[in-house]
Amino acid sequence: MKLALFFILLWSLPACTSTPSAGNAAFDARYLRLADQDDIPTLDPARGYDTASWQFEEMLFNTLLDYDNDGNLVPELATGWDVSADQRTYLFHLRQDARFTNGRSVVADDIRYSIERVLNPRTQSQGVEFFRGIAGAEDCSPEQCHVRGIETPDAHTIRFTLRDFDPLFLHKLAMPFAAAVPAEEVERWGEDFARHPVGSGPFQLQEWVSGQRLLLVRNPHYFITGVPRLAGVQRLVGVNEDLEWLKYESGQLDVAGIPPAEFPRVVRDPHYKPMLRHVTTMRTTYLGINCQLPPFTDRGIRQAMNYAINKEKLLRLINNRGVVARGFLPPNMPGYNPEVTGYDFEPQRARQLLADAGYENGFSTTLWIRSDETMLRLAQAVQQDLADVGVRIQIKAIAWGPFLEAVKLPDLVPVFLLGWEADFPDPSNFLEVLLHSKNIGSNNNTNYRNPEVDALLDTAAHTVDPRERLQLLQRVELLATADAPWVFLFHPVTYVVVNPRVRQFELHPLRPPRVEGVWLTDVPPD
Amino acid sequence: MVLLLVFIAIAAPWLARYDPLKAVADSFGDPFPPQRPFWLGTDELGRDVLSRVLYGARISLLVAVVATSLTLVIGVTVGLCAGYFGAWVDTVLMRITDVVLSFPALLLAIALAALFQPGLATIFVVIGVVSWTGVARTVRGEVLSLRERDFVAAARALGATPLRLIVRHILPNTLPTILVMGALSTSNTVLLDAGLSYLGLGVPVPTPSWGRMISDSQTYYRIAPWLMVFPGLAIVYAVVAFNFLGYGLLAIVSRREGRS
Repeated sequence: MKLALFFILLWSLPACTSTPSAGNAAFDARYLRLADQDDIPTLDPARGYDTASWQFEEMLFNTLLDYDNDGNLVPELATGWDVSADQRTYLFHLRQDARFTNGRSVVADDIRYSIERVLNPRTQSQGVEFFRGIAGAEDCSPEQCHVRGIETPDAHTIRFTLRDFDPLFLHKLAMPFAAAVPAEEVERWGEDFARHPVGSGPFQLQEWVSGQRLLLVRNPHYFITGVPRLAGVQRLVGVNEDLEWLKYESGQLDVAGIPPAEFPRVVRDPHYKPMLRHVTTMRTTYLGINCQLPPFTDRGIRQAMNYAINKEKLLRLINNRGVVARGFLPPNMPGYNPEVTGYDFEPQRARQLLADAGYENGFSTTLWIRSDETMLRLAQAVQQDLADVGVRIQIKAIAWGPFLEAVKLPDLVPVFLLGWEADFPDPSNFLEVLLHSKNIGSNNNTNYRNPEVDALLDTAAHTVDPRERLQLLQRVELLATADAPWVFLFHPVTYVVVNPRVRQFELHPLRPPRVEGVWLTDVPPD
Repeated sequence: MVLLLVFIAIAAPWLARYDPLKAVADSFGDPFPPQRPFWLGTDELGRDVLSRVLYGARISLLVAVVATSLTLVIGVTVGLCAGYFGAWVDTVLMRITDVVLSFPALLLAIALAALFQPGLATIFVVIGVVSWTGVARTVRGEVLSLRERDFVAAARALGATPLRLIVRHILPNTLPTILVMGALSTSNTVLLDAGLSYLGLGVPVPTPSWGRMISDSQTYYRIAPWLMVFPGLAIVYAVVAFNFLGYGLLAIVSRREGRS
């Protein structure tokens, strides 16, 4: 899943934006108080594919399966499942006590409807690629989408039949794309379902004022008694990194990222030790290069960009919270290949490559980033390095939602600074999602197209033997690294501080932090 | 004082020991306190603060001069027309002036700057558009009294066209006032420019500008106050310099008027 970078989770403060007429004092200490610079892009599980959206979608909706705190798959709406001997049929039994917040029971047809909705081209979901392997999914048209491979023998049983063996199918069912949504509410609200989400999750939407605040409150009828323990989760928008820190320090905020200027002090100071949390997710921060826009159609130019940028220097700007990236895959990903050596910092070689391509005098281009102090600092360091080899870049900083929309367009953004975090521990979640040409327009934002890579990815997708499959994917990584659609920057480590009144708050290796189990010491249970 | 500023702006490439855009310090990643050879320290991107402050004078002065000129052109034109023609021309122009004046200048400037591509030209136009009102009103007042004077009546009797009257007879007599207004509004321009850059609406990075330097240093105010203090002092110096120039001119003008 996409994301801004380390600090993307949580930022706070309403401050001057709160209006008395709203009758809503900015901070309410009964709730878990979070904040961010930008609003979340969407709350529609068929639409969201970024950490900010997912964090709140997971509070509102349920999927058949979920992850525990260590990243193992556990049942959520399902009570159990059977897999056929050829591993192409999955039979799930659903729990009987799950209800949508409109009062209706969650039944097998809801799961089927939700996945068919993602597959329907009219929905334009970025999740479509994860369910294409279900038998009959290819016949989906905007007019009618009844997938043969999804059957519901009774109200609490659902059977999936796959076209081919897919080792990742269970993981895909744990993505919010597969979350159960009630058809009647989706049809009632249409496009506006994102603003009026109805799910079966531990929380429900109370208020969402665009660009200002979001409030989710406890779902009193949640199927697990005693969960959630929080009365609600409040998230305020328009708070930059520094403000967030100040608000945290003054006790107005429960979770915060740590600005680079404060980080050395925070890790040294024993006062912060019990508040500090960190997690190494499977994440890569990179510069995406639009392979369709000249001069980046030339592979040499893209390689030159890689040689020109000093990644160690970038890491120093974020207090070395991470390791240098040599390829697409983070080191903790299965199939990580230490033989992918990537590109060292060699400006001389970059200049040579530029000259070979006919750009002795360099060229000018634009780097798009999410508007944020740390991103701007990283972008300026990139700008310095590129200027040294003659590539002059202009920095364009915009808000998170529009930024994600912009990079999807085929010929608007030449270069962008972004991160990618794995949705499940498998290299295909980087390589296929981001590099296969069939995903141009949805997740392949660099418009990278290499028939050999496509063929290898297709073969890997149908390979049953796990070792053989990983080897195919490793070849993909080697080929694509040489093609350099990205400048590989670093794999960051996420650090946050958590107010001592917050208990059971842990960062998650695969998902944004989960809050179902969180409770506050100074708020009495009711 | 203003001359020193002009000298610094022109001579910045020779005065500054380092390229203001490049990382020159080894301490990349953390700001480094003032110390030889970096007299005012370096920022977190390893850039020399002294060089950036010196180069920042160029942007500030350029904006000051161009934007103030634009302010004067708009303001004087409006003021002359309103004052000379009177009647409905005056009413319309002065109501427009009132409307523009009723917006807080910085708020209007932010709205305009956010609409257009960030860049020097935008800053010139934005500042020009929001700050001409004071000049227009003062000039109108001058013209109202001038056009009743004998020499204007004489010229009119001799058959001078309105354009000739305004340009040859009235405008020269308002020049002293315009000069003083110009110098005084330059200091406002410097402040407005710093404010806009601080809000990220000024010249794009990495071009050094004082306002932007201050906003960039916010994160580090606790561990690296020098990043904020020196560009701040530069702004104070520039504003005080132009104010002194304005009051100096004012003193000269009123002394001459006293004699005549």
